[in-house]
Amino acid sequence: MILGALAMIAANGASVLGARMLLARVAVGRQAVDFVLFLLLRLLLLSAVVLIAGTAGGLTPGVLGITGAAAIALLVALGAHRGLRRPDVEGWDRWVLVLGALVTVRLLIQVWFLAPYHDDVIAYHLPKIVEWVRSGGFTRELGPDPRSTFPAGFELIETWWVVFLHHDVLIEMAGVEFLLLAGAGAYALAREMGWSVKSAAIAALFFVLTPGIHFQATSCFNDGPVAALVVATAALILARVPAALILVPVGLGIGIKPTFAYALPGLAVIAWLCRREPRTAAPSSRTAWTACIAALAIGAAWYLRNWAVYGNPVHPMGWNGMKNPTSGSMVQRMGPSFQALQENLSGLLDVRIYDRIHAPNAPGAGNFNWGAAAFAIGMPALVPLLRTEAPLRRLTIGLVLSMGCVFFLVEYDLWYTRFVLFLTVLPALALARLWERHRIVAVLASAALVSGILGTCVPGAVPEESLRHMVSVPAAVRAARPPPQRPAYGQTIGYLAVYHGSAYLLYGADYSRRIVYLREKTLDELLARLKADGLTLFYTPTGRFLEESMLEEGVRRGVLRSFKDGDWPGYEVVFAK
Amino acid sequence: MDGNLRKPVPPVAWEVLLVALLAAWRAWSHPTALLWRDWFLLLCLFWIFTALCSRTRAWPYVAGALMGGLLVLYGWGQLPLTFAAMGLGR
Repeated sequence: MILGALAMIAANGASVLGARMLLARVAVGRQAVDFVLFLLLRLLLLSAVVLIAGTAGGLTPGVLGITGAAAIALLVALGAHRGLRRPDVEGWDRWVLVLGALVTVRLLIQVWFLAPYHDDVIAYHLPKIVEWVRSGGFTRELGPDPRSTFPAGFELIETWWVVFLHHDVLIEMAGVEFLLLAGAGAYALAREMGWSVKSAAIAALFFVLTPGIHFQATSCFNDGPVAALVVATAALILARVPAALILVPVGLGIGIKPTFAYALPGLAVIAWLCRREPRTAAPSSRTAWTACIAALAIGAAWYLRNWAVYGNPVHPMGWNGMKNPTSGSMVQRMGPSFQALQENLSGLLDVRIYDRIHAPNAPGAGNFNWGAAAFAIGMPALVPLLRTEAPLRRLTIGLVLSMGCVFFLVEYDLWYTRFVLFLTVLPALALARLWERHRIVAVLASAALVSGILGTCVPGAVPEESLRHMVSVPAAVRAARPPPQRPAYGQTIGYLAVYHGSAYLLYGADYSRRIVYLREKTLDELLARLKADGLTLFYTPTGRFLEESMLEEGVRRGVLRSFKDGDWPGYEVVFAK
Repeated sequence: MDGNLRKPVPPVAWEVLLVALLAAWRAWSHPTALLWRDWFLLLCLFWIFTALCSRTRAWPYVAGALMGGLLVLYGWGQLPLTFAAMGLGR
């Protein structure tokens, strides 16, 4: 663990110095925009390193740590450390700094005490990470759920935060990196619109405290990162930086989730509306284009892999979208739908904006999760500003169009609002602008800020027993719920690979358990597989799934016996006497 | 022909007309009993007020009243849920 921690420090140090060195070649000379570029370059480096190490079979703490240490030596020799200085926070109100520091500390506490808890995350986002980390490289096995093949750009950053310790205690740091990018993006947008440092800092604070954005950061969901990248892209567009640099977050975003691509038309409109503004040059266009090509390649990697392996770049989606194999209901749609647009818009305006279905939560369950500040202060504040501030008007037109495009392309369900969390940067910006102009806005926004701080303490839509379990067990074994007791620790566990499930939790927080996914479609094949792998029992997801009839046949024939180990339903093999 | 007759309609009139149409659509398509707390309608009405009276002394007071009212409306629905998630108020 200590060697792993040292390797993590070395690799992170190298990535910071490397990003700084690249920044020196593409910096545009405006602090806020350059900080956004620095964060993007670091994320680009981390993604590239994990992608290359995973492909080459070098995804281990030893390889990454030694490479990191060597890179530090090389970068220091090249002078990358020169000119390192404390962040410039001149002009920031003291209370913003204090509150920002407190929110950061609270965020780290949340990282420490929260383990991956949401169904989607533990069913299909994270099992692939464990498989990669356990085998020290990319694997064909990605997890039990067919959606495991979705683009995994965010999982690259999550892998970075688990590979060194071989443990998921810091996995949420990946989301925190993107939360920082979100704040930096909001700050840069305000500065690029010519607003004061104070307004920009307040906008960043309110945006980061947007409940949906905040909880996404510590939930292992990839919609917060998409929102952060949309906002960062918008900031670079408003800053009129070279196209090559604007395409860096675009490449990363497309590699994280297709919903980023859905938002692109709105971003293109912002670029078109800003076309007469003076351009900003980067010192080295070669470095900028190299970063651009790398980001686009990283983004395209998942679609190319799916095309090569499954013959379909968006596998497992087909032309008719994707349906729940058990219920037959539409899970993801493919292509635009006016009905989806209408349902999504009215769902947002009639219900979701009030945030009164659940406590603020990460998956977007029932709410927009934009908080009191955006609902009550930010959106009314946007009205007068849209009439007078042209850059804000352009940004609003673009982001509202992005929202429309996303709504045109996604299915109406309980959770769709998390795909448009980028929109909440608009009320955060407007609130910050009027904060300086009208005392009444500052007073009311302070009350909303208290509500925002309270609302981002404990994530909603998480079972109470799960929260209690996470904070009560040591970090070494922290999980959303206790794993089954059988088989004995260290032995391989069988798990029926069906749609959904909680496979990730079976690996253990230290990824020490091996899971065999059972994909057999007949009872005899299943029994043969269990015998071949030496498994005497296996677990299944809770709820209904198509393979139930196969298991019922096994029980009927007397070769399987169902059991329950805590919350875990399973079957054990009955051997002939 | 008198030149005044060809005077273009001021942009603010178009703005008010457009937002008024949105407000009317919302009022028509939404249950009447719920209109007093319909966020979209309130925002439309505030937009019309802003378009016509943004330079008056009354604007900050009306804006403050609207924001305060919306804050209460939001808190009324959300705070009990927030407190419940924190293990309070049950």
